[in-house]
Amino acid sequence: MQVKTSIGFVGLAMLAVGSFWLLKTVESELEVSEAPMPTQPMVTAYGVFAQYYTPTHQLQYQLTSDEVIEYSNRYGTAFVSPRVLIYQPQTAPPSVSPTSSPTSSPTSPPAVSPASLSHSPVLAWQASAAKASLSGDKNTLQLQDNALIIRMPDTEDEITIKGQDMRYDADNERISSERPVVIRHRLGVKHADEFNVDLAQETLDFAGNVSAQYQPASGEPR
Amino acid sequence: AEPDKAPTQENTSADNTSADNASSDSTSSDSTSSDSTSSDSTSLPIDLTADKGSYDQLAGVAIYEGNVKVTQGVSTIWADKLTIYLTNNAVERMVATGQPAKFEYLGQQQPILGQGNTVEYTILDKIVTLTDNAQVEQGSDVIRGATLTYDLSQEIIGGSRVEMTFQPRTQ
Repeated sequence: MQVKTSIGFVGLAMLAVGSFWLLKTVESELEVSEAPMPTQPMVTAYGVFAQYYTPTHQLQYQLTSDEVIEYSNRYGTAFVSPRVLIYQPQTAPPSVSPTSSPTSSPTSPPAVSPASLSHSPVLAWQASAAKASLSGDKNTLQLQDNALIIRMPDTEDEITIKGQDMRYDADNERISSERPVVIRHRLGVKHADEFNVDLAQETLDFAGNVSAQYQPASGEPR
Repeated sequence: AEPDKAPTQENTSADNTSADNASSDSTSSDSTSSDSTSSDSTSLPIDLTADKGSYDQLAGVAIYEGNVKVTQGVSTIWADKLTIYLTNNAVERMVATGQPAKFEYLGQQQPILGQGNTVEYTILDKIVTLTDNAQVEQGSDVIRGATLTYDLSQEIIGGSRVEMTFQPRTQ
């Protein structure tokens, strides 16, 4: 009987120690991810032009920045005056064939694309902000301070979305913000507290105190 | 005492029957003057508020949901959901749905209050079509039907299979 009781006590003690250790580990992990960006940069570069590709070698986005600061890999990269070209996700993976260079935009030199890029990428949105930060895995680009994204610039169907901060999630092919934005297109304007662009579906969702103004069609009755 | 109910006129014709505004003795000249006001109203910008919205760039369709209120000049629509069909970024047609969706028009005649589970407004035709429990009230007169239409420029109520209830005019 005595032996059983002592085994029970030992088991309980081990359980207590185990959960204390687990708690401590989780806490330290949380502290690391919330830790402020360290001020000591590892690398600083100026006048940078960078291209980011999908695992299937499709050009996903292209970034030009006056100044780039690289911190230790855990905290990613900071950009000053970033200008981003986000390309339309392509459903079919490109077949291996001779290179066709993507449409070069006026703001950047013609891009050199890997041999396997057969589709010429279609520009989906153009983005800019005062600064930006790119996560360590290069997947999430946080646009900060006067973030602006423009769809089909200088065309009839141009849409601009202006706000404080926005996030481009390359993996999930979305641009979003949880802060108020003004969405403007040629014949109307919308305001909302948050928005979300699905690049693959080419849809735009917005919510929170939504107000919009449109122009009526003009012309002869149908 | 219950007002004498006007004989119910069961209109079975499939065509739209236009019922001149019940309460007014307006002559065509009146409607012309109202015509200029209402047509101005239909070319004004369309303003709306809602809880949330979405825009399908490829289809050119915007959908708004939750406490939707749309105003254009003297017209107002209240609905649970509003679908806007755009052509060249301009609104060609709007379909509002609700339980019911409501429509108000403050034209030259007495105010029009309409409702239906579906209220469709075709901009170029300047016609509002109410369907599914459709009803239009003007003053104390009520018109119900399977489908009711309101011509914003002529300020004429039309409909098929309508049932009209006119209140007797006091001397």
